[in-house]
Formats: sequence, C-alpha cells, structure tokens
Amino acid sequence: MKIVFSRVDERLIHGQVILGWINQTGTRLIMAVNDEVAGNSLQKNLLKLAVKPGIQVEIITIKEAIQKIDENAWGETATMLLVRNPIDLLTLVKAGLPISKVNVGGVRQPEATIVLTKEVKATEEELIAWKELDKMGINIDVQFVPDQSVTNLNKVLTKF
Amino acid sequence: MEITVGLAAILALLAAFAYFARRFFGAPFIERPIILGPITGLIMGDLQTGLVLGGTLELVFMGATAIGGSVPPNLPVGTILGVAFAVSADLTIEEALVIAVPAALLGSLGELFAKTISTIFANAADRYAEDGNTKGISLMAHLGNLAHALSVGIPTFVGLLIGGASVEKIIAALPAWLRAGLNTTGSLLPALGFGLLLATLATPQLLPWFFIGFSIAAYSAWGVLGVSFVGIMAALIFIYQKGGFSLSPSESAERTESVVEFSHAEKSQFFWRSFGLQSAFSFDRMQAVGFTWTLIPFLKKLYADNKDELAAALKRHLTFLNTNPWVVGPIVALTATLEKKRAADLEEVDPKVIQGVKASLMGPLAGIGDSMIQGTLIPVVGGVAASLAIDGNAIAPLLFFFVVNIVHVYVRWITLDSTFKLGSGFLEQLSHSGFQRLLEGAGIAGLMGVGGLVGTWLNIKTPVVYTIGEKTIELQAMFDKIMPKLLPLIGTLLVYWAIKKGLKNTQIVVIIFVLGIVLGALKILG
Repeated sequence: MKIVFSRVDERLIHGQVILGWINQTGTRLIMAVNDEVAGNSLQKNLLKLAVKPGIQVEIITIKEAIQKIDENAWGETATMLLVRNPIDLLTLVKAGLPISKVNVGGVRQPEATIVLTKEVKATEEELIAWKELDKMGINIDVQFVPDQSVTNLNKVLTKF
Repeated sequence: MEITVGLAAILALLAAFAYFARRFFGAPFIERPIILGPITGLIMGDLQTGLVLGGTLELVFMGATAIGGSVPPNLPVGTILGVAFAVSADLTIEEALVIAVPAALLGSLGELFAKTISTIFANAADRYAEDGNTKGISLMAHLGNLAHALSVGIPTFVGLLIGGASVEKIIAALPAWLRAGLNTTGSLLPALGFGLLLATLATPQLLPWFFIGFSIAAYSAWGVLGVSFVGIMAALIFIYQKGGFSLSPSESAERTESVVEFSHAEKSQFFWRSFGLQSAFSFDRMQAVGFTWTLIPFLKKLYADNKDELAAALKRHLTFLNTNPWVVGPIVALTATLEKKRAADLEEVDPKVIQGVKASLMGPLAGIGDSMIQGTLIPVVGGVAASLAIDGNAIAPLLFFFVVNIVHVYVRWITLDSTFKLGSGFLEQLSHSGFQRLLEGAGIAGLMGVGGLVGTWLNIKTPVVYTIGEKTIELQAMFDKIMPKLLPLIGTLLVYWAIKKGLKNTQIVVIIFVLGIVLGALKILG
C-alpha cells in the first residue's frame, strides 16, 4: 500500500480535499475509513459523487481497512487515506498503516471541548489518541488547503 | 482625478457591501474583479480602465476562490485599490496589477481577523440560545456580518487614502529600469491564475483538453469565447456518449416515507433565509450562526409552547456546519423535516439523528458544490466575461452577474424544493443521475477554457535580438515559428509545476515579482 497523503477530517471527502489535495498529491485512489459511513449507502454514494471519475474511491470499515493493509492491497497505486478522527487513525497505525506524517483538516465533534487549534477540538479520548500518535513519532500538521499556513499539532500537544 | 476622503469612503462602502453580500446574500460572487473593477471605474469616471483592469484581475485571481473556509486573496481590496490608482495616478494596466495583487494578498488579513473575531459572536449566540432568545441570535448574526464588512471596508479606505497621496509620486520617481521590470511582472501575473486553475481542474486523463484549448486559441483568431463554446460542445458530446445526465424525477424515484408536508410559504421562507447561511462566519463554527438564523422563525413556531425544547433546538444548530452555500437546501429540508417530526413526538426523533444528518451531508454537498461552482462555473463564465471586458465591452460584468446568479438561484431552489418533495430520495436520485459524468464534462469545458485564456490573453514576449555576422535574429520570431504563444504556455506550466511542488500563492507571487523585475530590467522579457 502506497499512502501518498493521509488526513483526519470529520467531513472526509469535500471541497478542500477535492480541489485542494487530490491533484496536489497525485492521488489515484481514495480510501475513506469509517464504520458508520461505510454502513450507510446514501452517504457512501454521495461521497463518491463528489470525486472526479478516474479516481477510485473505497469507503470501508476499520476492519476492512486493516485487512487491506495486511494484504498490501492496491500495490503501488497512489493512495489517499481519510479518517474522521484520531482514534480511527491510531487503530490503523497500530495495525501497520505505513505513514510517518498526517494532515489534519476540520475535526470538532459537537461534544469536543478541548481546543487544540482554531480548527481542531478534541474529546478526552481524542486527545489521548493524538498524544499517542505524537509519541509514535508521527508528524501532525493542521492545514486546510495546500495554500494555507501550517500549524504543527505536535508542538501544540506538548501543552496538554 | 484626486482621491478625496469622500471618494475613498464611497469606494470603501462598495468593498464592504461586496463582502457583506458573500455573507448575507448567498455568495453571489459580486466581490469578483470582473464586477467590482467596472463599478470602481464608473465611480472614478473611467469605465474603460475599470473594465480592462477588472477583466485582467479576474484572470489573475481565476483559481483563487474560497474553498471550505480557507482564506483567499482579498479581491475587493485589491480590485478597488488597483482600479482607483490606475485612474487617479494614470498607471498602465501592468503597473496597476503590481499594486492590486499585493494589496489583495495583504487584504486577506482583514478576513482572517473577521473570521477569528466572529467566534465571539458565535459564543454569544450560544448564551442567547440557552434562554431561547432568538432576537439575540439574529443580532449576533448581523453584528458578525458587520464585522466582516468592516474588515474589508476599513483596509480599503485606509489603503485608498495612503496610496492616493503617494502612488503617483512613487511611480514617477521609479527609475526607468524598475518601471520596465514592474511592467514585465504585470504581464506575467495572469499566469498565476491560469496555473492555479489548472492545478485544481487537471487530472492526467483530462490534461489533453487544456492543450486542445490552448492550440485552438494560439493558432486561430477564435478568442476565448470561441474556444469556450467548442469546450462546452465537447463536454456535451462526452456526457451523452457516456450515458447522459438527468435530474428530473424518474419513474423509480419514490417519495421516501420520511417526507412531511410543508406549505409553499414555509418553503419560501427557508429559501430566502438560506441566503444568509454564511452570516457571522467564524473559524471554529463556520456557518453555525447563519444556519441557525435560517431556521429561527420555523423553530420558534414549532416549539412555541415549549421554551426548553426551543432552547435545546437552537443550541444543537449552533454547532459547526460548513458546506457550499448554494447547495445547503437538502440539509435545511431534511433538518426541518426531522425537527417537525420531533416537535410532534419528542420520543420519535432523537437529537443525535438530526446532528447525524447534518454532519453526514455537509461534506459531500460541499464537495459537489465546490467543484461545480468555484471549480468550473466561475472560471468558465469569469474567463469569457474577462475576455469581453479586456476588449472594452461593458456587457461583461452584467453577463457574469446574471449567468452566475441565475444558476445560483435555480440551484438553491431546486435542491431545497426537491428534498422537501422526495426527502433523502432526492440525493439518492442524484447519485444515480449520471452526475459524475456532468462533473467530468464540466472539467473538460473548464480546461479548454483555461487553455483558450492562456493562448489569448497571456502576453509574455522577448525583445531579445542578436546578430550573427550580417544577420539579425529576433528570438521571439524563432519561438513563433516553433509554436505561437510558446512562452505563455511555458509560463503557465511553470506555475502549475510550482503549485504541484507545494509552493504557496504568496511565494509564487514573490517569485513572479523578482523574475519580472530582473528579466524586464535586463530586457530579456517585456
């Protein structure tokens, strides 16, 4: 599996990803991982709708994703990984997802109260997951679109 | 024409209004240079300059649009300052561009400030929600919009006054070599817009369409209008070859059981209020206040006898929402349907379900809307209108405004009304409608259009002449023999490549400035 870009973003596939990151990173396949979305055919269809043809979109559960990682699915295809929260990402990294850095978009569930940056809020569980990802040496950068400034989350996390 | 305090105030109001329209009038794109340039020109008493400069700036900022809450260059500040100084100090178009582009980049700080400060209004709205005070929430929406308008109006005002006193003297005091260099910079700048747009539209499969559009423009006298027309035809052929596109309700589209009746009056209230979706836009909650404002009269009526439920409903809608402002209809309709059911029977619909619907739809709708509207519609219509404007045709801004906003109002209504009629069935239907073919077709038309623009309006030329024995060779003539407009093509591809390498807009602008000044002063380009 060749991950060219990975991102935590509660909206998974949307304008920032489509107009901002897909071409920038040369992505040919999008792997969006979320149990809830993968089980909802309407959401799945809509998410696929927004992506230009020619780019394969796989919306799968965490369990399926782990299996794909194990099988080294899609070989050398330039793959973009999208998850909705750091907890899911941590699970995948622990299962052997080959990444050393991750990009973060908007992540703020209604019940999240810990303010990390102006775009990222976390629940207690999410904060623990972010910290663990940080400890594993993964570089975490918050950046909406390629043209915008970067906030390094690793640095922010030292204060929590 | 001297820039007086009164004139500066009028122009600042124009900037503030254009930006306010983005927040409260459903994003009608009147802040684009193609609209503001000619209006500023008219106010300054020189429509021609306004048209030409507005059209050129439209090209420079072609690919620079707000996607999903990001902060783009500030178009009102750049356009109005550029046109005003072009008229008052009698600048060339290139010199005016050299002022307008940095002004727009600097001006984006104003928007950054407004989106940050609006967090205060969102938090205050939260407190009003706890008491069920809808008037307070509305007030916060309007105050937020005022802050946004001021954040653009004030920099415009200050910039006009400072520049009005100094621009003419500064430009006159510049040494000839630097003026030549800045003029070259001005002629290079549109490559930024074309490169940016190319980067958002092009996939490897679609890239040939860019070169087709470019070739037609470079080898013929068809102009952007002709190329865009061929582009749209090519897109239609492509779409129908692949199976077509249809949005009209098919036989199989049944009303999903979740549909609740809404009167026409209720629907039109949602429709009109949905224009205010971007009100008090803040970094942390984005459209939360505007969305709540859209629902206020409906929720007030719905929970008229239950103050606690009203407060709870207001609070749950004051949470993060961000989608494309033209296509919020399905989210409004499904939310209203669920709220109505909940009001009838509190046990039937859990608030979490309502949150879930919003959360799951905003991303996909944003993606579809952004690629169709900012990614295709605005550049194609903007490119055609800019071409007309540069030719001095005063129809250009009207054409842009009406084409864009007829589509705007139609899309806003049809997505709202269809979701009220068919529930989530409308979105199901959309996913079986061949919409992706439409998207790909739109990409073809867009790429051909950009190619046409590069081949028509980008004027990068070299005056280099060298002499071997008795023969003088003009370098430009040699390039023209290989391919007309070769240098503009190379320039655009270089910007495209730089964007792909991860360079930011501001960095590319700086590089263009340095290159332009150096190459222009050395008379290598110009």
